[in-house]
Amino acid sequence: MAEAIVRTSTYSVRSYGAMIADEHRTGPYVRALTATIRPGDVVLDIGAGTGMFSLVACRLGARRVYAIEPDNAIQVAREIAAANGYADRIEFIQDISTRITLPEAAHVIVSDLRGVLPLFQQHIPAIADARHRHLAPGGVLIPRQDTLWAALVEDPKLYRPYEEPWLHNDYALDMRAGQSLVVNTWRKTTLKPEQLLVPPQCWATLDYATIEGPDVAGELAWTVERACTAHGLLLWFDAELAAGVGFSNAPGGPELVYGQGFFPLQEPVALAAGDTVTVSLRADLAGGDYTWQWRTRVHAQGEADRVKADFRQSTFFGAPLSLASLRKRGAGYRPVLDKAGQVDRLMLSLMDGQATLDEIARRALQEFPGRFAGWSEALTRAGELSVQHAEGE
Amino acid sequence: MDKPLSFASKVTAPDSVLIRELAGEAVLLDLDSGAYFGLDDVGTHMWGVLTTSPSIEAAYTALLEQYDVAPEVLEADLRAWIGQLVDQGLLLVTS
Repeated sequence: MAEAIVRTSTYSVRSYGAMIADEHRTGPYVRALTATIRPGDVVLDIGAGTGMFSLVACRLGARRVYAIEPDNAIQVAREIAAANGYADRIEFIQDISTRITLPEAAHVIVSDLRGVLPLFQQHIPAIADARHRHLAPGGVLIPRQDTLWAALVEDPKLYRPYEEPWLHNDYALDMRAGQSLVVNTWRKTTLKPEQLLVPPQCWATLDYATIEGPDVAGELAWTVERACTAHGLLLWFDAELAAGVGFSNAPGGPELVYGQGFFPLQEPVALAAGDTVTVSLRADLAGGDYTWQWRTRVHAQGEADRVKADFRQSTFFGAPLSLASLRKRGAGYRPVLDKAGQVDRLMLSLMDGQATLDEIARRALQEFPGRFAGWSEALTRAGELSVQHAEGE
Repeated sequence: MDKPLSFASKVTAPDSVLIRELAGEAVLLDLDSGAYFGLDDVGTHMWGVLTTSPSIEAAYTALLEQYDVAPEVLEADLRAWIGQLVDQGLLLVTS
């Protein structure tokens, strides 16, 4: 268990470090904080990581900073705050922002809960919640807004893993079943401007001052101007952090930690000048993460009856789920706990503030003989449940 | 279903509902609620026939040919099943 914690935290701290070291991201954030924070302000730092923005807020004169971070990286943030003399001004809370209440409203809320794209897990619900519950009247959000852009792109090399080994391989094997999954997944990439086949179009603008729902849908349409082959759709975002301060992930700009999202077409499509391409793209937050759908229609010379391609793709079709696991997710399914679940239920029921983990592990060994190789293994499981569910820090 | 279901109507799946078939069965994902719903092999087949037929009447006729079932039983089952799916937001009825 101890080893697992160290591994998790090491990975997180390394990725937080990479984000801070990205000058094209962190530089604009610091400039936005500098332009916004006034001495005496209360600042809320959501997804604080190792506490970089909280430290900058203190340096700019913030009276109080609330740094919210669910990851164990918050322990490092505490050490760094102490090393910089700000430990008394930053209150670290290891939790997610939608679960906490603060004793006072914040003048400034800073966050970066994005993934490759801003449509990532609970980012938008967290911002909307923070704006409603934690932002003082007239307070400021950093970032202000993200704008999502899309373009058709050509990249045979990037597309190759969507065809090989699934459609052709050196072993004379029929592996097409894998292809139908992989073409329904998207991935991070970094492309060059010359790989864009059409001018970028704005797909959506996320205005954090007003946004409520996490779902986004929009239509994209292009008329192709030259013969080419389309391999997919590229999606990226530009961020406005404060007035005149932001950054862009557009191809050709400085390479940031976010990159761009590549959504493959079901198969490459040879396009001629005059062909029209429309893409209905939507992203819905369901079950804690986004389900993406992209429907692509290509008409030769824009003529309605000359359909060159009509693809319906979705990340819902991209996960290699078994029928059993799909059935278990059905709303009408009546689950029965398996043996592992029964062990967990016993252990959780014993976590009443009286029994020690040692006692809980011994009781589980007694009631489920043969389930664990020994006391140490039972204690490891009890410890995992304790870390996940026990009260307090 | 507030109004009686007309068999002249057509049923379609909303854009917010995705269906994934696997080994003859299917799971529906309702993006609005994030909930999953399961269809057994018969339900999966009925869903396919209903959502690709020009009307419920046409689907009913096709299913009547495919299954050894009394017409009145199939009609009652179909009405109940469509009503349930419409109530759950998984099907849309259009005239």
